[in-house]
Parts: sequence; structure tokens; C-alpha cells
Amino acid sequence: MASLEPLPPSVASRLDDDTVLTVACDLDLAANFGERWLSITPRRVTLYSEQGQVLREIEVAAVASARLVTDRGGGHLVLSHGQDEVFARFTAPLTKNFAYAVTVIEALREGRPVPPMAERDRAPACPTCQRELPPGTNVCPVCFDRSQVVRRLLTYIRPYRLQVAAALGVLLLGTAVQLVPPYLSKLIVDRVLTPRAGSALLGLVGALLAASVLQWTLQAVRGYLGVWFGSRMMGDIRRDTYNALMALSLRYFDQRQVSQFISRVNSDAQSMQQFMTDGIVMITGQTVLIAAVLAVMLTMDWRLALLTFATIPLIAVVSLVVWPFVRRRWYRQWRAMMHLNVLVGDSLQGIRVVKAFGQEPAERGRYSAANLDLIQQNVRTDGMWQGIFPLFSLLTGFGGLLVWYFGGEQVVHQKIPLGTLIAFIAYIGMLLGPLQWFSQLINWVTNAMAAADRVFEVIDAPREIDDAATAVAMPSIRGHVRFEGVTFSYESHRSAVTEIEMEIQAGEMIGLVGHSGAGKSTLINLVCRFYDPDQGTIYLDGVDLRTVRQADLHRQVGVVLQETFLFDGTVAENIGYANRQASRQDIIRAAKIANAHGFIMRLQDGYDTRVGERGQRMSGGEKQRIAIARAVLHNPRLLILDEATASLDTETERQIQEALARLVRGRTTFAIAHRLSTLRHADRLIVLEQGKIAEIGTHEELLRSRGVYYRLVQAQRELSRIRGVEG
Amino acid sequence: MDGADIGSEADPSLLNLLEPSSLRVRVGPGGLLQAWVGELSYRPVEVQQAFPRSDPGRFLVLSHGEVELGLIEDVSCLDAESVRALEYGLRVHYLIPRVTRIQRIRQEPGRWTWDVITDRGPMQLTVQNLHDHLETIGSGRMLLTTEDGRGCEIVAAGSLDRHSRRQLAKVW
Ligand SMILES: Nc1ncnc2c1ncn2[C@@H]1O[C@H](COP(=O)(O)OP(=O)(O)OP(=O)(O)O)[C@@H](O)[C@H]1O
Ligand SMILES: [Mg+2]
Repeated sequence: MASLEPLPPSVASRLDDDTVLTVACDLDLAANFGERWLSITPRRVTLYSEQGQVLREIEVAAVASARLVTDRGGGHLVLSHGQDEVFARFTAPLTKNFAYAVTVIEALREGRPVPPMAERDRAPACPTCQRELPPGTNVCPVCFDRSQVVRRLLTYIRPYRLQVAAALGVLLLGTAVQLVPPYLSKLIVDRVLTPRAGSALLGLVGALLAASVLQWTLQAVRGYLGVWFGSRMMGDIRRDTYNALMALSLRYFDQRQVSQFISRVNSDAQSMQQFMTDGIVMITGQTVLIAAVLAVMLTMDWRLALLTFATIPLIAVVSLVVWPFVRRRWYRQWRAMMHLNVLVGDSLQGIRVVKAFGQEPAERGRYSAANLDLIQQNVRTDGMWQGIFPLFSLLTGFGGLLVWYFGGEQVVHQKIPLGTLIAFIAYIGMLLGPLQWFSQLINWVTNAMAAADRVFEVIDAPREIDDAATAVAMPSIRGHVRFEGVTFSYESHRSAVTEIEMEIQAGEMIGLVGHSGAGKSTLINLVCRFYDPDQGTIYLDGVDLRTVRQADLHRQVGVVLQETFLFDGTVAENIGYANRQASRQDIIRAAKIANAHGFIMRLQDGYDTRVGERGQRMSGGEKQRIAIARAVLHNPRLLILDEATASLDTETERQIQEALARLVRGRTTFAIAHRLSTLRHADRLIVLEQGKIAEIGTHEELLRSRGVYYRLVQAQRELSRIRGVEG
Repeated sequence: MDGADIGSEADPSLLNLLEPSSLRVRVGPGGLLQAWVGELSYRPVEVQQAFPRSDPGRFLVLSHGEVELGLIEDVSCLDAESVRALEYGLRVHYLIPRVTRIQRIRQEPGRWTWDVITDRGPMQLTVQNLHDHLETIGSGRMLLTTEDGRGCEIVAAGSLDRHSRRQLAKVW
């Protein structure tokens, strides 16, 4: 018997021995939270309450159909026996289990063997503790420990450990030198001023000067070292974050606002770096300084020393209490900042739409609101900081007051020399420094930890489509593609393509047609392996696409995507994007095939014309032709054209078609087009309807069978007749 | 020109508004809705909100499989039994519960755990961070969504009890 979750005894005791599957529901039939259990045996499907009462029951033989219906944030299972009946309700994470339950019920109903649950449908488990990993990360919350973040941060120091060690050495030396001046002033008071004997004065003042100069030099050296390795470390973090972003699955980006990452790569790296350079140096330096001052003070007069430190525990307690607040405030402020960044990115990317509809005032208003929020958060966070900061000073200052009072009394009663008191006050001044730094440090550490969390979150996000260690090298693809029972959904509940079965011979040209939203682009997304199917397998030359080495695949697949994208750079760079070694001749040849050469030469700088950030300076059709040239130059074995000629006039399209026809010979080609005449030359047409294959065949065959394709063609003829042109 | 004019000048049947007097909705025995529109009866029917967040009480869309039966502009014109049936239909379709009290919001490295009491019972949600998972709409309305598609909604943060508001202050 298969149970997807551990059963409560009250239910387990009620189950039959031949139970095939039990599935937990987290909602009751009125959609309130509550535990319910669905059990499936070869004879009946039963819904139990948590106490094991039977709530619903039906004979498998009586079930006419089983289906899942998607709701917002979950779904329900409907079994039909002449009349539809809701059998279970559940929230979104359980959808997979119920999808499997439906398969099981259908199999039992039809007397087929029950298929096993696909491994992919199970959530990945933590390699250490085997617990299910939460979605969206590879990090197990149970095995994760805090110190790991710090340790991971420290790994960034490793390449620069020599420089860091040098900086620390310089720092220690500096600390030692820093201790000298107060001691010298004690000597001046006790040996020169009190006995009023000036002979040693010049020497002592000279020593003070030397100490200052040395201190200044050491500071400069340490500062330079800090900047040197700090900048490099920051660069390393930025690089890792960016590399991680490049490796993330499209699914990750589908679910997030992409523009947020633009600022995050840089600002988060900076916060981390600040902690690792200034922060670590500061922690070490000031700890050493405190220890040294403490040691010196203890040897000079331990009672006075203890008075000085009386308030330190208090400071520690205050910072521990304050820390969580600070951290949350910073995070809140960061979110406000990110929101503002996203807003700017959004409105600038859509600036044409903004202007076309005259919505500048509305955009200004949106910005003002977000800006106001950020201002408020700034005031709250920094305002709180302004309050805490003096509190620390006050607390440390209080120790100084104690010393003035008790130390002064002892000097008056001649129990200690005046110089000692003066030196003490000077050392307290030095302590005040570190303790104030301490509050600055809280700020750095908080920021750095938050930034590290975010950066590591990106780095740890599962790369959905990773090359397996056993990836198959395919240096030369023939181009035979087979889909076997492929089902895929972007969001867990609604599948974009369902049960796709098709076989495409190497060198064949396939036209994909269907209504908008039918799943055409989705099919080619799967061929390009932008996503992996949820069920079923795609074979390329007989090899499971999931196991093909990605570099090999992408080297031999050329795509013109539905949304044309040109990078900031020259026309030539854009055409040669995927083939940096391409010669000038190759680029011109590709442009000629794409019928782009003519208009490129009319541009001011020919192939060296810069196209804007998003190719704004080109017309839609011009951009498409550059994209076609890019795909052509790639010289792919598998050519994919998603509405590649949609923005072109029929004459230009015809010219490109002819050129492409020569090119696609011997290559497998998938072409998507709404203008059906575009696909005249296709060997076969695949007609999709609502994610399913409705028809496959040649243009003539499909016309003859008078199905979906026939109707599509009729509709287009109708339209052209109305317009008075023949399409 | 006022954009609102377009609606009234265009064909009114485009909206396909359902006449309240000729519409009845009931919960069928299997837990699914059935509806009578004039002479015709449909079963099962689904009800959806066109504006689930900004105007949940109006513009309900009634459909039977792929076919849209029509738009209910205002439920209050329907008979009481139909209103109850529609409320039930919405409740079982929109599975995002409303928070009535926030027990605790806890932050641990790399995750935030929310213990809340909702109109459907207590629930615990864990999200990796707030910037991807907590959406605030206007002032005081929040939507928390987990990576795997569960979620809860805080309709008006200001009207929660003091304890909840204090917990919420951690994130707001
Ligand atoms: N990134 C995405 N995230 C979620 N859903 C998506 C995504 N891309 C597409 N879809 C959905 O998947 C379905 C199929 O989309 P697809 O892009 O394959 O359609 P298409 O046949 O290419 O349509 P068109 O002719 O309009 O380009 C649509 O319902 C669409 O809403
Ligand atoms: Mg498409």
C-alpha cells in the first residue's frame, strides 16, 4: 500500500488490506482547515475524517470519471457517477498528490495496472536529513545553522588571506602604538609637571610626536590594504551572484520581479563587503584594543579599572535587545528601497507606453508614494539609530564619571598619583571609541547578514535545469525529435500542454498552428529546454533531452523568439551574438538570408550602428530580421522560428521564406505562424488546441479532413476577402 | 472624451449581465452549484469574482464549464438562498483564508514563519523572505503567498487586535 503521508492510527485501523493509495487532504468539504483522508482501494474510494469516520464513499465501478478542478490557492477532486460529487478539497501544495490519485482511480476503473508516482512529482529531500526540502531552495531549514552564513562569508576572504593577515598585523601594531600616548602623558604629569622638573619634557614630547607619526603611517597602510582586498572581495561576491542568476531556471524569474535583481547584485555585494573588510578589521582591532587597554588599566589600578567597565554588561544587554529591531527595520527599509527601484525600472522600460497615454503624472504619483514610504522608513530606522547611538555613549560615559569621582577622591587623599588618573581618563576616551564603533558594527553586521541571506538565497535556489554529472555529449545532432506523453504546466494547477505525442524526422519542417494561447510557444520552450516537462519525455536523436549536455544542445539549436530582443551593442554584435568567431562575410551572408542587409546598409554606420538598449531604434520587422540573421548565423541543426516573420509585409516575408527554404534543407525546423500562408512549405502541420494536439498532417490532408485547421484557413480566407486582398 | 461612455454606447449585451429576477443559484447535493437562468438550468456551475481584491462583492462571473453564463453585477438583488449559495461557491473557490489574528511571526535564518488564525482555522505559513512573498496593497491590506501556492490575506491590518498588530510591526 502506498501512503503519501504517515497515517493517524484512527484512520489506519479502518483501512482495508488492499488499499492502493491514501492521500491526506488539508481542507474539509466546506473548505475549512481540517485533516481528511482519501483512501483508494481496487473496489472503492472513501473519504475519512480525522477520527476515521466515513464521510463519503463510492464504488470504483460506479465512478464515471475522476477529475481535478483548480481553485484559487488549491483545488478539489470531483468524482462523477451520473452526478458530480466533490470528494476532497485541498490547498495548492497537495495538487500533485491528487493528480496522482486521479491517475490511480482512472487506472483502477479501467482495470489497468496502477502506474507508480513519478519521482519528479515528489519534493526533493535534504541530502543530510532526508526531510522534504521547502520549495524554492536547496537549503534544508533543519540542517541549516546560522554560523554557516558567517563561515560562508569568510570563504570570500580566503584568496586574500595574506593581505588580510598583513592588515591585521598592521592593525595590532597600530593598537600597541595607540596605547603609548596616554602612558607618556602619565609620565609627563608624574615625572615633569608634579615635581616641576623640566629635563625629560622635550624627550617625552618627542616620543609623543613619534607615536603620532607612526600611528598615522600605520593607519594609511591598513586603509590601503583594506580598500585593496575589499574591492576584490566585493567583485568576487558580485561575480558569484551574477553567475548564480545566469544559472537560475526561467521558472525562478517567472515568479519574481526581474528588475529587482539589477540593484541587488551590486548593493548586496557592497553590504557584505563592508562587513568583511571594515567590519572584521574593526571587530579584531577593537577587541584587541579593548583587551590591551583593559590589561594596562588593570596593572595600573585594578579597582579603578573595574569601575570603568561596570557599564559594559549593560551595553551588551542593550545591544542584544535592540538587535532584532534594528534588523527588521533595516529589512523594511531595504524593501522600500527595492520597491522604488522596481518602480523606476518599470516605468522607464515602458516609457513609450507612459508617454503614449500621457500617464506621466500618474507615474509621478506612483513614484511619490513609494518615495514617501522610503522616506518614512529612513526616518524610522535612522531615527531609532540616532536614539540608540547616544545611549551607548551615555553608558560608556557613565563609567568615566565613576572614575572621575572615585579616582579624584583617591588623588585628593593621595592614594594614587595624579598621572594615573589622567592616563585613566585618556584610556577611557579610547574605550569610548571602540564602544561607539560597536554600535556602528551592529549596523554593519545586520546589513551584511541580511544581504548575505539574500545573496545566498539566490545562489542556493535550485537550478531546475542542471546538467547531470552523466550528461550525454552530443557533438553532432541529427535532429530527430520525439515527444512521449509530455505534459507541462507553468503554474502547478493549469497545464499549458497535455499528453503531447509526436515524432519529427530529422530534417523535417514542422509548422505549429493553433489559436493564441494554445501552447505553441510552450512546445518550443520545451524543445529548447527552457523548462523540463512535468510528465513524459522528449527524445532528441533517441536520447532523453534531460540528459543531453546543455552546451551541445544550445550550440545546435537556433531560435527566433516571439519577443525579439536586441542587446545594447552594434548590429554586427547582435547578429554574431551566439557565434563570436563569425567572420564579416558570415555576418553579411546571414543578414542577406534574413533580408536585412538592405536596411542595415541604409543605417548611418552600417553594421556598426548601435542599436538601443532594447533595440528601440529599429522597427518591429527590422528587429525580427536581425534576430533571424542571428539564428541563421548560428548554423543550427534545429531551427525554431516563433512568429519570426509576423511583423513583415508579405513580399519581404516571401523573400525570407525562399532564403530560409534553402537554409532549412536538411535541418529540423519548427515554425510557428498565425499567417497560415507562411507555413505552405512545411512538410507537416501540427495543430494545437488548448494544449493538446488536435491534428497532424500536410496542408492538403488537413484541408481534406475539414477539422480545426480547415476552419482556421477558412477564417483567414474570409478575412482577406473582406479586406479585398487575397492572402 | 470620458472613457466611461464607451460602455453605454456599445452593445449592452456585450457585458452579458444576468437579470437578478430570472436567476436562481443553489448548492447541489454533491457540493457543486447549480443555476437556473430563465428557463434553462445548468449544473455544475462555477462562480468567480472579476475583482477578487478590489471589489469582491460585485461583478461575479457565473460559468458552466467553458461557457460563461453571465455577469452578476450585484448579489444583493438576488433571493437570499441564491446569495447563500454564491457565498458558498466563492468560499470553496477562493481558498485564500482571511487572517483574524496573528499569533506569532518568527524570523529565523532564511525563513519567516507566520502562525495565524484565519476564518478557516489556524494555519502556519513559512516563506523564505518577505520581499518576494508579502505583497502589500494600499495601506493595511496584505497578501502572503508561499512558494508552493498557499497563502493568507490580511484585509485590514489596522483593525486587527493589539497583539496581532504588535506582531505585524515586526514586518511593517
Ligand atoms: N511564463 C509563463 N508563466 C505562466 N503561464 C504561461 C507562461 N507562458 C505562457 N503561459 C500560459 O501558457 C499557455 C500557452 O502559452 P503559449 O505561449 O504556449 O501560447 P501560444 O500558443 O504560443 O500563443 P500565441 O500564439 O499567442 O503566442 C497560455 O495559457 C499562457 O497564458
Ligand atoms: Mg507564442
